[in-house]
Amino acid sequence: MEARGNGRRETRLLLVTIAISAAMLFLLARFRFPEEAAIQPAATAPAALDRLTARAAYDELAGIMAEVERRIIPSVEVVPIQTASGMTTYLPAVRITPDRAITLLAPGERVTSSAGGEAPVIVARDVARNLVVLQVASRPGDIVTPRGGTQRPGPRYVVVVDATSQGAAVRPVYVGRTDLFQDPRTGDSMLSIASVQQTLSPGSAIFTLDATFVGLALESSGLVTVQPAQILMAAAETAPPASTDPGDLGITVQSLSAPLARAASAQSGVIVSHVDPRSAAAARVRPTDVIQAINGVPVTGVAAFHQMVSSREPGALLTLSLSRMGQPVTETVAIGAEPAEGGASENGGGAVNAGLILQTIRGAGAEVLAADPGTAAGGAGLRAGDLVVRLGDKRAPEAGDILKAYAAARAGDALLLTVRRGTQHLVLALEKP
Amino acid sequence: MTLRGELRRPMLALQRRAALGLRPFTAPVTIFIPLGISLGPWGLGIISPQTLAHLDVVVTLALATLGVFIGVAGARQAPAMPRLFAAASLEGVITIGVVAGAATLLLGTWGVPLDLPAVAVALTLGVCASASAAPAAEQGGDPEHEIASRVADLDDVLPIVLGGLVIGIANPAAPVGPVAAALAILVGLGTAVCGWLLFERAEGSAERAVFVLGCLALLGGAAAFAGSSPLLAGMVAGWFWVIAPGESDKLVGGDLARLEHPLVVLLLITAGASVRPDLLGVWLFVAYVTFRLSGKLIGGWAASRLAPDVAPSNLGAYLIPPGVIGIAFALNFAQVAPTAGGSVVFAVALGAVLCELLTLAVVPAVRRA
Repeated sequence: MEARGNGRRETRLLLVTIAISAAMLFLLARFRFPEEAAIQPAATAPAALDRLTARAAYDELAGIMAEVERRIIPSVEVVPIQTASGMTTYLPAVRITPDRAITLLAPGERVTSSAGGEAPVIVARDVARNLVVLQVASRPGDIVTPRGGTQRPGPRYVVVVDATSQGAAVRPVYVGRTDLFQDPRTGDSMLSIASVQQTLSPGSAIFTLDATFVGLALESSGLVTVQPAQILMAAAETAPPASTDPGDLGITVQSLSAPLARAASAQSGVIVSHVDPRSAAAARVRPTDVIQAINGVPVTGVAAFHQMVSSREPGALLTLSLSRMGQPVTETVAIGAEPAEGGASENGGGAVNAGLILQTIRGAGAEVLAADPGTAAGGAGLRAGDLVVRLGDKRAPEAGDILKAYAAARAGDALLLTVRRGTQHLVLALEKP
Repeated sequence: MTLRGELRRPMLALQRRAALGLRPFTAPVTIFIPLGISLGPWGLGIISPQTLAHLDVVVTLALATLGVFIGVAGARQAPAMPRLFAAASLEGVITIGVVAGAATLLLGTWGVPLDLPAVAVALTLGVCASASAAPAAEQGGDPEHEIASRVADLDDVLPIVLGGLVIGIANPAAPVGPVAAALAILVGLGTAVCGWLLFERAEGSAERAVFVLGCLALLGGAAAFAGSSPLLAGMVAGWFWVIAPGESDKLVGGDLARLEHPLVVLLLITAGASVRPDLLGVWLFVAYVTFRLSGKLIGGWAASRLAPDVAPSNLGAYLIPPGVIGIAFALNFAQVAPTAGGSVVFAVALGAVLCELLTLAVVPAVRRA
């Protein structure tokens, strides 16, 4: 009897519980979890053994970085670079043989000399990959070991080597995810490292923690990717010798903004801001011309223009489709050819020796984009942003006028420039040494 | 007796027992979980997050030790009482089904943003809920109580195997569930064979204790490193030591008995200290307590129908105290899935305390008499 009574009691209790549970389920299912209370990642570390190993991680990483730095730095050369806008920056060049180092040089950039030193000589160049091979002081033994194939370096720490005016600097970067993709221009396999997109400068060298060379950072279409080491080293071996800097038309261009497009009556292309008066293009191309196509290939931007020009050997002929004040014009110019009148090119004389990069502002004069302090322009007191409104008696001179006049001047002669600097008006003497 | 009267009696009993300082207030869970909360980062801060990180290793060791105990108990009792083992397994499966089913449904309707499959969280709650700890029966005492204690020992076996799969699903660094469970079994077997070869060749109790501790560390460490369940690895090892020739199980049991209580206390304090305020934890807590209670009662009822001659009709009520295994498994889950695991530890640890308190409300009349 007692057992039966207990059984009935249990069954009753069970039914009550089931009813309460069903009601609770119905009630609870009517709620929605508040979105703002989305669960946050826990502050605690993941797995049990990981916590043990993670304890000394910072000290351990610092020790590893010190060791890696000791091994990597001798194999990295810091190369001063002059950008298209005249700024001086630095790139790490990685030593692949005792006297050869490689780096990535963007179109418009050129190797310059450091203070008191000579500019490294470019001995070979792979234009498609922007790769240059530099002749450097021989140091046997300090050669990088390339990382095999196109393995993805993650998840792990990698070492990023940046170049500064003080020398090469290393830093650890945690790589959580990498992706492989194909470079449409070369067909090379490239690495995209998500975690370093924001912090990786183009040209930076990347190594593993055991000091093997992963590759060089490359900026393409706003995305910083990594060109793998093996591909770079293979390209360096087959790169053609670089006797001269290729692809110098002597033309400075800028993007065609909407106001410029309206003013120039052109829909697409790049607008010519300066033509080196000593270049072959000086007689055929004018500032404010819009270059719409080269050899029939549309020019989509400044980078594309530099790429198209620099990928041709010196002496090659280019057919430029121009829009000149709205009228279509076709001109053929030779890359890197000496100008008809003779004299210095941008790389060899006048403009560079004057230390000036100018941009014509039609009807107003010539704006100083860059003035190298160690040159005649610097000595005259010219600064970037100055507007040259008068050259001697000539009002609103074009950039070409100033550079031609400087080139024609004899040593010791001076050009009288009237300059507007903000609200100030100055007269400066640009002396030819 | 009316239902109201039935509910009033346990409340009176609760008051009387509380005044005497007896159960449920003396149950380890009701003491050490609140103690852990008060000492932890959200309490006095004596146990800092860094200390908790160090204790993680001890938790792994404790998981392996508990696994060995369950394996030894299972291997000794299951062949002797196959129907009771089947009844206990049925009760465990029903509890898992009720809790995991309800949790899966609720997690879906709540729209909780989780960083792992909702079914993994739901199954974890189910596995935690299925563990029971009927208090040890006294010699010559209540036979129903004795049977309930055995069922409580046996109903952990199947959930631990399922837990091995869940750990594989929840751990992003681990192989897929079945492979993770197979790895745990391999680790357990490999270590058990090593221990079996060593224990009886030890030249003294000190040397044997070193072997036993080494095996435990190897069980927990290797299983955690492989991303699988130390509980499962420990259970397999314990099971092996019972069925293997010799007296390995007795030797291990004797040595581990010294470790049992300190490890349980440390485990519960760690669980308490790991409890952090968490909205999802509160939601899961409500669901966990409600559906664990109904799952246990339904499971106990079904088990007593499967084996009426061995399982008492009020078995479910005996199995409501959750004990340590569920909390241990929740901590194991939190090790591999820290984000959702924090909420699960909150729900399971506080749910265990509440279930211990609820025990009096549904405790069988025979125990209250």
